[in-house]
Amino acid sequence: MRRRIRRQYVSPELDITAFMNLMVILVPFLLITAVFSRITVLDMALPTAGEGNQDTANKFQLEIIVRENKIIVQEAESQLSAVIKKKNGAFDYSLITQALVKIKETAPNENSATILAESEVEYDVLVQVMDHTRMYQSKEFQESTFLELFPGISIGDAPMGKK
Amino acid sequence: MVSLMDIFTILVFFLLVNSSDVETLSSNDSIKLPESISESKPRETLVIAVNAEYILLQGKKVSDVNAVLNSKANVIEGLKQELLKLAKIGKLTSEQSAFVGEVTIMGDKQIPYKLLKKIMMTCAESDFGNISLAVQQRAKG
Repeated sequence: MRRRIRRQYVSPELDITAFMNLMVILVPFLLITAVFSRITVLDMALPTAGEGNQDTANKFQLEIIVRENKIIVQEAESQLSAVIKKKNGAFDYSLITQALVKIKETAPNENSATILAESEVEYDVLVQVMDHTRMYQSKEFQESTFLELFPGISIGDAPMGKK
Repeated sequence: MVSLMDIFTILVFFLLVNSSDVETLSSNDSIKLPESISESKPRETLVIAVNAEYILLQGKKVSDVNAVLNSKANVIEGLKQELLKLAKIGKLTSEQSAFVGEVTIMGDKQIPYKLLKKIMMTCAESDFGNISLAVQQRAKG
């Protein structure tokens, strides 16, 4: 009986000062080192010099020509093409995806594409075009999934032509 | 007091897990990387950083952007010299296996394709055939 009274009397106070000190130091430290913007890479295979179009037997040839004010998507075999014009200083990249999805439907086994860029095209535009050529985000299903389009990208110079 | 401890404990574990993937590329204030949905992680490679003024190889200035843009040559001489030196060292250290040069280009959003092309040509000529482009991962919507 006596023992029971005593137990109620002593409140179970934990001494967590040391633990708190540790936490207070650890939290700001980890916050500083935490990486919130992740850097990733795009891998690229460089065409070796003078390679050109080596497989002429393969008719499928997808070219995405990036000019300063427009992007032309064209494919030799199915004769599909699309022209995307710059609007308000930016391209609508989803149109590239639309065009490429159509091309992919005609040739589901192909995965190579050539991006031909004019010399004044910005790096950012180039990366965006590569991104949209690589894969697209499907909205058909409930959760968005990434579907492959043409991940085998090579880069080259745009042919000189009429602007 | 107990709830505070709970919060801290959860926070510490969250941050520990978050920081476990070590960043191999350090970002630079003068370079704004383009955004991409790419998910492949950067590897330990040589880094060529390109901002509006300079081309830096492993943090060391090798060339001026303006000089490169104005020159007619397709290859950046300063960069090539340095890369060849590193390629030589690489070949010596990797005796049996064939040396494959890997390089990551961290380019500013604004740089023209012309400049990028010259850098890639230079890399290809100096036995650095595997080129990756560093990009900022976009938050998925």
